[in-house]
Amino acid sequence: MTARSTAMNKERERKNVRTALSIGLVVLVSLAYFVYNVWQFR
Amino acid sequence: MSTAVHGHTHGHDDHAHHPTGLRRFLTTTNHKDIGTMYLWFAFAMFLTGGVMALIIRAELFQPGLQITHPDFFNQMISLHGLIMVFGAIMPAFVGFANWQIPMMIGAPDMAFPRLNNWSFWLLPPAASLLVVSLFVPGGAVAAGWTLYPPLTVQMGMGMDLAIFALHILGMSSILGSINIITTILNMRAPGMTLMKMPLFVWTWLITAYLLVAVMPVLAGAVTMVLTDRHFGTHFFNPAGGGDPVLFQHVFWFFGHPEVYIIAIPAFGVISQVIPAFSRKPLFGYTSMVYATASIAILSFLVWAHHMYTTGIPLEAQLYFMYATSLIAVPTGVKVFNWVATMWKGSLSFETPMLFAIGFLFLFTIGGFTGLVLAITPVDIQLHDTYYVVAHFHYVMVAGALFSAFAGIYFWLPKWIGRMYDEKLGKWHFWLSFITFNLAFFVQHFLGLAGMPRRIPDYALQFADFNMVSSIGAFGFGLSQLLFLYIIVKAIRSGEKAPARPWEGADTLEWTHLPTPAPYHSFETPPLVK
Repeated sequence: MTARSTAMNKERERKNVRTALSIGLVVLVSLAYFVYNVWQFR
Repeated sequence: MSTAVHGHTHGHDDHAHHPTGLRRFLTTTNHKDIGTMYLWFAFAMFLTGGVMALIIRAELFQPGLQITHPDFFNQMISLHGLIMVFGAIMPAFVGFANWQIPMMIGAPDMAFPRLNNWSFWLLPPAASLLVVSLFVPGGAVAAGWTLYPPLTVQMGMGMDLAIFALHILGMSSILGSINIITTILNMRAPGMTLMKMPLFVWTWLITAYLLVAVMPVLAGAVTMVLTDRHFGTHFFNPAGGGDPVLFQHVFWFFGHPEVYIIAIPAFGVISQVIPAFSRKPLFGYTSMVYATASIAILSFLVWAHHMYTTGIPLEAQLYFMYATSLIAVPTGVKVFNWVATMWKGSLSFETPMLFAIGFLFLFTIGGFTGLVLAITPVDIQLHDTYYVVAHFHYVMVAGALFSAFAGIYFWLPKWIGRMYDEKLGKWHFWLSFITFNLAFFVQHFLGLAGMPRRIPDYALQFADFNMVSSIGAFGFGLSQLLFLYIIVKAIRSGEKAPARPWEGADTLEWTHLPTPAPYHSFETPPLVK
């Protein structure tokens, strides 16, 4: 593997992690909001 | 979709450096290995859930209590539903996603291969919990797959095992979905724009978003049941001022999109198979994408059509009736597009196409009975009858399962490099088609005549149709053993598959990779024009 393609792979991996974390964050925030709302209802 | 591709055909792909034996499958990060494991796991669960279905149908063969205790019958009903939905159909389509998405978008693997391995290996412990719950004091969950309280607040520890299993299955689905979304958004080959993606990939992108949105809701709902059971809360327990109907709202906010989580990837498979055997591009590609997205969005807005009999206000009944009827529009767009794809096509009827056409006929029947049930006054009569059971088995079995069969026969040559026995494949289709209708078509009549679901005994006037249904169910079950034989025969001694066994198939895995697909594919991405 050339240095260039390794750098490209690293960049792609970083992008993948950013995408996954942002989706994960949306999931966690929605879950927290849901739990908060239901807790008000208990 | 027709995609012109140029560039090199495949790289140094055949050098598959991987452990062998059990370690290969325990530690693999290869999307093809993981796809294979998902598919075999789903098939094992399909047989497990199938045996439970046959216990149910054996009990219902004649009126009166024959072979099971009523409580055990309820456990069979519940586990059959949970295992088929979460253990069989969903993992089967995740198996397709693993195998196909990287190859269809020209990616070397999924975005997070190790996460992918973990998503799979979460499944066997969860499925084991469900099955083992049969043997704990009080037995397995016996409230149906919908897990309605207050029953589920009162049950034995089998319910706790089911809750834990659902937590694990939900985690697996969320992680798998994040992986799929990231793969599709970030790892497409140069030139593969979103609107050039094969429809199967589109359907999975939309499904993954649905999963991410609703699995936490299910996890929340069952966790609330858990805290009601053990930690003194009263969310759903009327004895403490809770509201069981609240659970139904939360559950169906997950449950209705779940129907589309199962159906939409099935639409994706059918959208690949029908053009290939019609030798024409898919009719109305863009409208298919928008129709799929519309179905997904609408699926969030119709949940209370499962709850017309709970006493929701008339205005709410009207809203949910109209909103539900609206789903028929994008679904109709899809059905008409599939038919228009076949129109004036150069059709041939190999096994994948037979299952796709079988899907088209029977899923449309399931869709129409869904519309019947969407009409509030009709549903109030038919709620919890066998009409509902018939309806959703037309969607789940003839819809999702037939589409999975179509996909397996279609891509098997690409996966294993060998052909299945075409004659036996056709036998499998016709036996499945006929016995499926024997088992489930008559259930419409039983429901219309008022036979309730989830009951181990019934009045004498329902006897004949129940006998027919049970005969059909056993025939359907036996036909699936033929399917297993066909697959094993193909793997062991199938004829060598040509590079492109279906000349109408034009996605990257067919045009750009050898058959069978090498262990590592698209290490250098292809250029898509």
